[in-house]
Amino acid sequence: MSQKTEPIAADSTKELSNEYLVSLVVASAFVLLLVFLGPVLLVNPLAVFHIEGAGPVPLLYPWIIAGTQTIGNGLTEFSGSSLGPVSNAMLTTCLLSILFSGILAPTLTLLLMGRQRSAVSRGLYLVCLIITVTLAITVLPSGYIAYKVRLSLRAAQAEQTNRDFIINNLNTIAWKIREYRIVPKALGGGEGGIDGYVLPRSLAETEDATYTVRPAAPGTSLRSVPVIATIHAYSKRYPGSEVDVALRADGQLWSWSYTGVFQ
Amino acid sequence: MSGRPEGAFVILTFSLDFPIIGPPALVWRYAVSLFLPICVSHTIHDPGGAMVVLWLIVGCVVVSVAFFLPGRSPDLWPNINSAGLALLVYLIALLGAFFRSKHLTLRRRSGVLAIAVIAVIGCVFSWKQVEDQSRWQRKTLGEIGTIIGRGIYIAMITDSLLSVLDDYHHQKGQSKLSLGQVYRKRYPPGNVGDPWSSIRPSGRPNPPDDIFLAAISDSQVVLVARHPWYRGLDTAFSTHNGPKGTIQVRATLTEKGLQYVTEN
Repeated sequence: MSQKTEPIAADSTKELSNEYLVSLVVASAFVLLLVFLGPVLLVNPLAVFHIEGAGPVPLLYPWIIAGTQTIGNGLTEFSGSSLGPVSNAMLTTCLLSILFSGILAPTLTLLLMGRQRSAVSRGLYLVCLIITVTLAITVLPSGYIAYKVRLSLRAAQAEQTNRDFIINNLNTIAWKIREYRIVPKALGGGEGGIDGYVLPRSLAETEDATYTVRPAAPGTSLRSVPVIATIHAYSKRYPGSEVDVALRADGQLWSWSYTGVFQ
Repeated sequence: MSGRPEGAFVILTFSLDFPIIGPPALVWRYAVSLFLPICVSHTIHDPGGAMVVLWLIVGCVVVSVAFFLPGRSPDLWPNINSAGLALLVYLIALLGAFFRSKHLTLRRRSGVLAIAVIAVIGCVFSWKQVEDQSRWQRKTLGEIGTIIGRGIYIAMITDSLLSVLDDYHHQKGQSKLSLGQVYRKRYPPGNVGDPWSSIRPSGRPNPPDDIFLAAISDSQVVLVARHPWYRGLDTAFSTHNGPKGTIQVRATLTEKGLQYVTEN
């Protein structure tokens, strides 16, 4: 590969010149500053999730730091704590990540490429080249993995949400049956039994599932526990996925079983 | 970040030490800490070094200004999206300067262009994936909380009020207590406005502060529950003695049964 090169000025790289020493002192001071203030200035975003030994991988991509912060905010809200502005350490880490992987590495790589350099700065070029190429090569697979994870998480969450709604509805059906058993016949109840109980249409079919109640024969017990009915839920969103549960005499649901994607 | 080298050089060496863990990682980072200042000093004094430094300073300043422009909020996305746009402009300008350089072969230019295009497309794709996914996960956590909150209220309120209804319809003897009296007998003192935490003896391991006795009479008992933080249907909904927009349910017990209404 033939290429034109810029000549090295004889006096510009002379070691131990004043300019060289000044830049060496400034660069060393900056590095020492990072050494001693690093733990204060920077934060490993994965520490939020207590992932030990996760290493600095997420720092290569600033969007992973921001994503971690957003999920951390979700967990904070979930636990009822109030959200404050993002910490200085997180801001610094994110900015340094952008500057390092977006500015420093590509700039040094592109502007030093093809130029004749002193032996030492060739090392810096090599480091930056490796970082830039690593970023370029790994970003596509990591984006694809993120896409696949996104799809699978959404699918899993949709199933879980459907299951949760069904469980809530089964609890509602359970207390409606218990109420029916308590109320005297004169007031429209079952007065101790569930004969004649009809599941209201709003409970028999929701957008998540359809439900049926089957009264148990008197004296029926399941694993030595007397039950008065069984309730079946058939998911409308996931055909073939069902929840079966027995209703005890005290109104509690008992012996849950799941089929299909709910297993 | 356990130690000082971990804290400081994680930024400077992150892409090179993926496979290195333990003492070798520390040795590597200390070595880099000695090597980097020497490299930087040499680079500045190399031909064209001043221009390289100028590019770096301009890039860092432009991106930093863009980063801090949206201000501080609980999320980092406004900051990094703004910085990302500035970075894109900077990288386009940098590539322009790179391609104007006369000492590069066509092969090298083509290689760099291909890698740059792939890297930028990959970064934007990955960036948007993570942004979308993290926002979705945050929203989903809120929805899970809402489902849990509603489930807890259904279980606790219906169980306690149906116990009152059961007592009411199964009273022995000539003189029968009213529905309100039965409630007060089971959950004293039963004053309007009382939270459940005031029930004595509660009979519950941890009576919540967010369920209130809203009304009580001989013929009906009304409980209102509002969650301190799980979000309900309408963000503007004013809850009973609580924050705006959280879950609220209302349960009305009469001798005919229980009416359970989700208000938010």
